[in-house]
Amino acid sequence: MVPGIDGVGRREDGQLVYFVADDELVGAMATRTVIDTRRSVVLPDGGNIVKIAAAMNPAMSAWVALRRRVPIEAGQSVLVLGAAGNAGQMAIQVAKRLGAGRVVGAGRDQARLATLPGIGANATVALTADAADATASLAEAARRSTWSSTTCGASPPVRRSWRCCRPAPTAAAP
Amino acid sequence: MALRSANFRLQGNGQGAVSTKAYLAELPSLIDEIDNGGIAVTARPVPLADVETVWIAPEVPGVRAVLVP
Repeated sequence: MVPGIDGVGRREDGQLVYFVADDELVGAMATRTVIDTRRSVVLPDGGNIVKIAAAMNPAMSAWVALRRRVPIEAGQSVLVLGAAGNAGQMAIQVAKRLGAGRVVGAGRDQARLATLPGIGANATVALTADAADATASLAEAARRSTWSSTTCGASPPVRRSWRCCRPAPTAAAP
Repeated sequence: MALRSANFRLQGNGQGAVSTKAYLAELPSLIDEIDNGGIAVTARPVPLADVETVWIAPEVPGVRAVLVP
């Protein structure tokens, strides 16, 4: 089995595309593969194909969520759960790019949390092993947020934060 | 606080929650954002021929490895 669910490829006609593999037909990590042209997007001339290949997958969940599911309003505050991971780092940038005001990143890896202000986070919340401490910190962050995003594998502290959210936050789980 | 007393909404966002067509329609603008640096990523291209060593090498946090032909 060849793994890989998406990538950048050059079609036989020379055109560069970003593609997402069919659900049951993986194999993007190959020299040559079969793509469904309906699930591919032509890339701009001279586009940075390595960056596009690297960022599309972790960025698209937040991008689609904030454009299609819960269109963000200018200045809205956003809490990103799982912010230390790749998708979380992208979610912070996407939220800022789409006009969010205060963006808070919560996650477990404290070294990576420390890098988040550099990509636009206004604050971070460390999800420590101390459940009471993590819950209290998240509650404070969530209380001030109108939208929160969680990455695929929600950890126990992240699940606890769902109890703390108000007013009317929306959590989008890709 | 009990969940029933929280003003809380949970929405799925994967394929299925958004149609494939709608999902695809959002990708060109995201590609532009990544390409023009509006959304930053640190990527490390590695040759596909080296995949066996790259696969088991420890990840550098925040760096995405990209296999290239």
